Amino acid sequence: MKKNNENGFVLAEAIISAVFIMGIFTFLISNVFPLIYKYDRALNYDNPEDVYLVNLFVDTLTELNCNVSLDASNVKFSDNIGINNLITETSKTDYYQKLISKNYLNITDVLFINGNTSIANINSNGMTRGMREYAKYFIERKDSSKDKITDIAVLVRFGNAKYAGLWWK
Amino acid sequence: MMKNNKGFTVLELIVTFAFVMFLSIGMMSLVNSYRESSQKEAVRKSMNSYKNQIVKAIQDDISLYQIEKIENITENLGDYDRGLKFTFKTKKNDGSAITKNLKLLNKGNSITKAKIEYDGVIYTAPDKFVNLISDTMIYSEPTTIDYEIIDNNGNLNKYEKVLNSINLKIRNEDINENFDIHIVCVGSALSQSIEYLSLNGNTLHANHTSIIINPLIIPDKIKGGSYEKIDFTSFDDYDNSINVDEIKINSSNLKNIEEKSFDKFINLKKVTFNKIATNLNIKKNVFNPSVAGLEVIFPSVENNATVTINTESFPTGSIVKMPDDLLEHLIIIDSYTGNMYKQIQMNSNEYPLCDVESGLRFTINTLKTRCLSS
Repeated sequence: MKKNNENGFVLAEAIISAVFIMGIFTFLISNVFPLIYKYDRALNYDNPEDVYLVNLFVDTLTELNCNVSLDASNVKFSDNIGINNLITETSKTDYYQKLISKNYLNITDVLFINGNTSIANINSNGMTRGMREYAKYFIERKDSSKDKITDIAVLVRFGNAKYAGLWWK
Repeated sequence: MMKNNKGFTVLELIVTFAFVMFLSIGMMSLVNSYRESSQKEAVRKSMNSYKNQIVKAIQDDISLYQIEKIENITENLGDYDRGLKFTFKTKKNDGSAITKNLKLLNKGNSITKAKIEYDGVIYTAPDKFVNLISDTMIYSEPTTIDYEIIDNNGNLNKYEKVLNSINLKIRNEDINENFDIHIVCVGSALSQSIEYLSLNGNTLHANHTSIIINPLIIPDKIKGGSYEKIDFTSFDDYDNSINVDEIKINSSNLKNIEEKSFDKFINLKKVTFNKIATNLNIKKNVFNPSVAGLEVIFPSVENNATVTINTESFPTGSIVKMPDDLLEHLIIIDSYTGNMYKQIQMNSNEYPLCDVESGLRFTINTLKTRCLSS
């Protein structure tokens, strides 16, 4: 009886195969992840309904004479606890808190940036990943030639994990 | 070398077929899941488009015309189940308010398409599997809130807002997903023309040409501002009487106080005019006749300001304090004859109902005060 060939693959074959497979996976991942990101973006970012709600929020900030001062990194982030402290005047807080509550605007986080805010500044701030991703998207898409440094953009995360933002002139 | 003429063994073939079948089934289910995902995405897209059309139509009107109030409607719904009436602050050319209706139809089964009509435009659901969820909250009751802001002049302004929240729960049974419409808008609790009220201490200040005040927010005392007309009569929506015991008026623009202006103020104790117009005309039955012991105080004037009162301007038992300089320019109109009189006869036995004490005040002892010509 003939003896079976018990030789395995040589090292070169294994390496070439592994590199080939890794190359394919790298190609797929590099193409699939942006697609997933774009899909999430289309689904959760700047839906018309949410933009209207942000507009009401911005109008309210203006009406309440709310002054937002950005920190040295040109950002101010208020999470679901800190957001209640954006308005500190007692006479206004009841109205403000009611407005952002679940039954109305349902806002959980707010981020303020200006025309000078860079993505690096966003990374350095301790905000949630979702808000950071939306902020990056917002900064990348904004037309820097039109956005003045003095203008502040209000980026909002809603309770249903949707995001929307507007410039507060 | 001897050629190997042996074919595949049965075992090899079975294993190979099983492997290929396994791969095929795996691929089929994968392709199928993507096909379903694609179909779902198409449905989601059409649902989102449907939802956005409705949101945009309503929100654009809210932005453009400013919401005044939202009410549930139960009549004239036609084929629809439920409805909301939006009344906007912006008026038409004829002065009437702009109103638009939102109507919803859901027969509760998947055969009839859900239908939404806004301002006469029908938005039919993109496919027959779309339902409005029966517990859809088409309108959450407005929450009335107020807040105060100190303006540049140091005045404490009291604003009143009504938060409205509309939630339409639209469900697509085909993909078992909800596509909720959520609209929030801020209206004014005051259905009339007043824009703001300011609170100074315990007094409410209205800086308007006309003031109409919501009794829900009226404090114990009211201080009037620079307005031309007072009208507290439009409280049809409220059963409450107004629990105010003092009103202060500082207006050199106020020329007429109309009938029943203060009719809702059943606990009124004092009305103080700190400033008056050159010619102030107080018509009859200004106050609620049940008000007892009302004190009305007029200021001293340097010019020739004239106050015209009616013999039925003040309730029975009212005390009107008027300084000499103004008393000299007081005109009284007889409610019955319409005759005008220039001065009240003091301590007249013949007409005891019109009693002026010390030249500075007179007491109205009856609703039908009678006075003499000078």
